[in-house]
Amino acid sequence: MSAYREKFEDEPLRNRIRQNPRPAVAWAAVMAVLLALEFSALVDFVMSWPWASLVGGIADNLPQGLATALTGAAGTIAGFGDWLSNLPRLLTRELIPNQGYETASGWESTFLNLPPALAWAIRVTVVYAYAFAFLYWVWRGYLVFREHYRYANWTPTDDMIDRLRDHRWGQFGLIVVTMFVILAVFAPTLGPTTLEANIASPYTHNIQYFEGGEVKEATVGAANLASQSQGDSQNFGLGSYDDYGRFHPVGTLDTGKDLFTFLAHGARISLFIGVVAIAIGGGIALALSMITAYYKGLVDLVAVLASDSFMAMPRLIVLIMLDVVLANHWISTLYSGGVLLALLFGLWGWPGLWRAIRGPALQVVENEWIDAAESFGQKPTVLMRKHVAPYVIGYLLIYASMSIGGIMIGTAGLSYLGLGVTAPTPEWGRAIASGQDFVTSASWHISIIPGLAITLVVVGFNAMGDGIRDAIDPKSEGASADEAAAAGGA
Amino acid sequence: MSQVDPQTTTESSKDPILEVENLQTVFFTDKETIRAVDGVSFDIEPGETVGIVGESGSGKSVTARSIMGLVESPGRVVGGSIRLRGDELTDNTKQEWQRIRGGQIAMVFQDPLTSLNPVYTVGNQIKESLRLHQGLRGKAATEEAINLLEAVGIPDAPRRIKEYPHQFSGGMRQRAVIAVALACDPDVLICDEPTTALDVTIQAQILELLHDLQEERDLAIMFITHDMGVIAEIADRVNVMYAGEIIESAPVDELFDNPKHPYTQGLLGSIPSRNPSGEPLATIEGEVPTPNEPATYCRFADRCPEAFDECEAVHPVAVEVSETDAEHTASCLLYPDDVSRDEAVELHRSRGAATETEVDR
Repeated sequence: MSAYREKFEDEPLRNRIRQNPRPAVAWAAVMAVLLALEFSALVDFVMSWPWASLVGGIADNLPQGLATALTGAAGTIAGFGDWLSNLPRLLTRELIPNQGYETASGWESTFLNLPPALAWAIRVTVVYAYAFAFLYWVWRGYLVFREHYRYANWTPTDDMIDRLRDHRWGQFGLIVVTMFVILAVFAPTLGPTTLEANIASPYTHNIQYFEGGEVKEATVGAANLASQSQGDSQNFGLGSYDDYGRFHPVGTLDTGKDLFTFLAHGARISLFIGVVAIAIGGGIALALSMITAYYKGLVDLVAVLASDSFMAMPRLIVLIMLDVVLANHWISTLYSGGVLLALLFGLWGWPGLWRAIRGPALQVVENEWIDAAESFGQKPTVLMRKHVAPYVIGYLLIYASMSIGGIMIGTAGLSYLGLGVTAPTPEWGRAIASGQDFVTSASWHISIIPGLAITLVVVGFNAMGDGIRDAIDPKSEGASADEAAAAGGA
Repeated sequence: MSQVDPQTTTESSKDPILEVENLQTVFFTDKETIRAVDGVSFDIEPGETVGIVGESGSGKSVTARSIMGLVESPGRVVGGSIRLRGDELTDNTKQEWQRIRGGQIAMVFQDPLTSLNPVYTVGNQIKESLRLHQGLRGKAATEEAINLLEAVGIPDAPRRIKEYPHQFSGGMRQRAVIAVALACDPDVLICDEPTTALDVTIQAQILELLHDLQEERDLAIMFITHDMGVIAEIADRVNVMYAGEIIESAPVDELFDNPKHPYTQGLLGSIPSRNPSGEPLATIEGEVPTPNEPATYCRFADRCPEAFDECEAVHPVAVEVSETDAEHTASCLLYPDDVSRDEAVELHRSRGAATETEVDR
């Protein structure tokens, strides 16, 4: 909140740290170690931006000499950056590989020659341990700041945070959501194999396997064909190895592809669509709620009518229609249709969110400090942004976190119907659809595991929303949030 | 009681900074049309404090909000004029109002608990108005905010400036609210019951503070309250409001020594300290009526101990209570008291017909 910003303006944080450096230094040292472990990944991320075209664009508009100097300097920096990004890091597949082959004397080319299942489990544990340690340390940083360096010894936000600290159900939601986000962010590292090798282009990648006393090579595609989960006749279920020595933590799909890799990458697109759609819908809802709360009357009525018209349309059917209509448009090629879905969910998501925060916004405007600010001539835009929006954003967070679950269900539902996100980008709904013929057979995991995962994530988001709500408004404790979730699910 | 030199109140050499003339603010509800402010007129000169006193619902606050342009739908200023240094305010656009608010006229609200935003520090809120009106930012704004907090008598201002409203006591908070208003450097300060939520000792401190600030900055203050004791303390001139109208207006000493309108007499009769102990206090029977139709009669007649037949038929207008006292006016058919009653009624009838107004939606 800008209250903090104002304080930095008064007396720089630097000065307060200089007066009492111990806690800050201790915190920063641990943070530095944590960052150093993944430093090259950070550099990698920065280097992955389209610097070359940017530099090229600038150089084209400069005189010859300068342009040469610029591209030269850029080249040197890029070289250095590449060198940095090649430094060893903790969380890579290469450090703890799980792909190998089993000879008579045991496993070869896996991590410490451990069985792939164990190697994979170690890598997953390390990733999650690192991610949680990092997040915990960020939280510790906030606590250190609050205890040692913040000027005010209490702010209204503290109460909200402290209430969340005692809210077990909300914490459960927070942990589930965090695990989901980590799954999405570290998907390439977490999967027992990679998206490119296993799912996107299996016939251009090879694997080694051991057969008849010698190491042979085969394409991944060929191995996949032999690893299909096809019901009772042939099945590779939870925690199974296939004939090529590959480990499948939650089994294979009916195409023989690895389900866990599929889920991890599917989490990415679910999260992308959810977050982008909520950002669009929430942004529209917040702006509109400020406008309607300030002007009230006719403006409010028009917005009510508009949102009613939007809500009167069955959302999923409209989405299906638009998805089909725009199927050949260039926008549906972005991220296998994910961008289009995010836009549609966002544009159709504002009425519900706006309805939810319209009341609180109207209520907050009635406070006397709004009158007071207006009476000293504050501009309407600043008035609403500074004195109303911070209160409303809390409510928006609650409903956003609850409707994000609805959007994920919607996305999965569309892919289940064969719409929305198209292959090769994995989407959980498609896994459910492909496994529905096998639900009663030995290959039940194809549908059930993604289905359970969606349920768990949606419950997690709803629980987090409950927690935020109870933290913001202690009086609401125990009230039901089912309506919002149901509305979000369309 | 204040010791205002009669010389300063009778001598009105300065031009008024704020002139309110026949102001009418009406609320159009589905059920009825409420004339919350119905033909109010008064002037304020620089350095002068004009008190407006009346019961709850008499239209004091609506008058203040009309002057600030803060009347909200379904309310509207439908007639009369408000002039600030001769400039008409009632036809201002939103942008023009924004320039007036704060910089020219600032307001202190009743409840210091709710007129500060609890999520920002006190300093932040003072700086917000400093930035708007004096263009100060960063260090300069912080220093000025500290000066203002010291000016309103808050000790240890450099520390206090970084505290949140809840860390202030009631009186401190009202001082902070006054500091926010002063940060705009206004010419006119409207105080809407600023001491009502405070206890008596703090009240006295705030009144003293306002008095000092007024002398320092030559502020014109419009002071709204229902407390006659507070009015006696701070005002130079008092307007008594009843059901949307000013029914008596006089310099403060004159009003307290020599109340003319039966309503004012009733109000003063109900103050404990002014009346002999041991006797039960006088009360005014009944309630303030809702002014939902044009006044064609005296709105106080129902409760008036001295009402007579014409009170139900003639609307009293403001007249000098006697020829010798031009500063003291009352809207009552009993006055001017140096003519016969019939002549007085006739005077009100003829003047009333000239100012009759109709309110259209």
